[in-house]
Amino acid sequence: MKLTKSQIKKIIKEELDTVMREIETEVDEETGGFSDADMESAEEELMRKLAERPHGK
Amino acid sequence: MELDKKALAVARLTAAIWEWDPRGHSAITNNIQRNEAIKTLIEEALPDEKSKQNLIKMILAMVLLTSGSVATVRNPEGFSDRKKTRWSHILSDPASDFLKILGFPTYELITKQDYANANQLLPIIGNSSMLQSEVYTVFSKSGLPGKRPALASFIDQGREKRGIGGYEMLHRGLSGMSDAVVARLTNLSRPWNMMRGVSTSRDEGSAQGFAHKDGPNNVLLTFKNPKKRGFNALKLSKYGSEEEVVLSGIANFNSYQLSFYASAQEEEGDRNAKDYSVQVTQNMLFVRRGYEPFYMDNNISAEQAHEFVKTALGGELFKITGKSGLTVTLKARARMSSITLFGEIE
Repeated sequence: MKLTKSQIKKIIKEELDTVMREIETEVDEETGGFSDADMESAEEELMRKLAERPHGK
Repeated sequence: MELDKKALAVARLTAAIWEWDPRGHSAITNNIQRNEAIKTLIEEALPDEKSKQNLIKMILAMVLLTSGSVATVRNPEGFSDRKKTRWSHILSDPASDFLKILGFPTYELITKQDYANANQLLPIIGNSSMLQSEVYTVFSKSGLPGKRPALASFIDQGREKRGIGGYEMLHRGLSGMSDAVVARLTNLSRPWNMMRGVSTSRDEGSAQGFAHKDGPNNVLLTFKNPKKRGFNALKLSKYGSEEEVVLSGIANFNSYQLSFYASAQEEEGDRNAKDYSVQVTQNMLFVRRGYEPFYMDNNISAEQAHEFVKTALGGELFKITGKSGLTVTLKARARMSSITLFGEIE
């Protein structure tokens, strides 16, 4: 099956849009602030550090 | 395990006696005078062997937390026979003298049982509370005020009577903490369980030093301690200059002051770009652009403040419209925060 130039352009544009949407989603995930899970592990880090001595182990 | 109050009173008085300067001819004569005072105190206040043994256990627990293996204090099962050390290696001179007066052989090796005892005892002694008047009664009944009026006057005239009734304010500094921890600290809705016994200081300056020891993020915790809980380690600790008090209890934090820096995306690459400094409390958000006030909202809720900090320190961009009408998109700089929290021990 032969594709016309405009059909090829359309396919490329659709593919490119999909890739761009995926990239945006990834960026959002990286910079979405801290999650509740982050806060839970932060609490563990905090309690661990608090249990140590100020002058070190 | 019940707390032996008489033993605790003697421990507090001994910590105070080690702060006393008898103004002798030398450090040695000063130590002799202090040790004589402590001997009198023990003979008069703790005639029974059981109380002496209780006091020895308290001191050993404090010593293991302040200069032993803190990981083994938290988990005695991790004790290693290969790393056995002697008490004499980790004792301060005052604690060593004190234990010898009590008849404890300081040359002995530290055992797994010693760590297990400390693990059990630290939550109790750290949570202990005793009225200044109760401790002072033990002091008076020992006859020391009459025998050593200079010591009595030192205790009487000192701030909070040299802490014999405990301290109203305690502090702890933490440094090098992650941004996530700073964000967690701004959640005031959950109490902290510190029942295991943690090291704090009666001296805010000392805690400040530890808050800056390993660089940002710097955290300073200030506890109101209305029941004056805690075990005064002070000079009995090998790190006497830290003025340590072992504290255990439930902490409720009610306010904080957080500051961090941010930069505006719109000004990226601009050599005249300004630094934005952001200050957050449980009810206020204040932003400066350079030295100029840029934005202020002093009517936010504690939940809103916490959500904002979670967003900003989590690396998400946030928009702020200044009083001039200028809107900027800010990004917080990682690990550039300082936070002071104020709370209370139940």
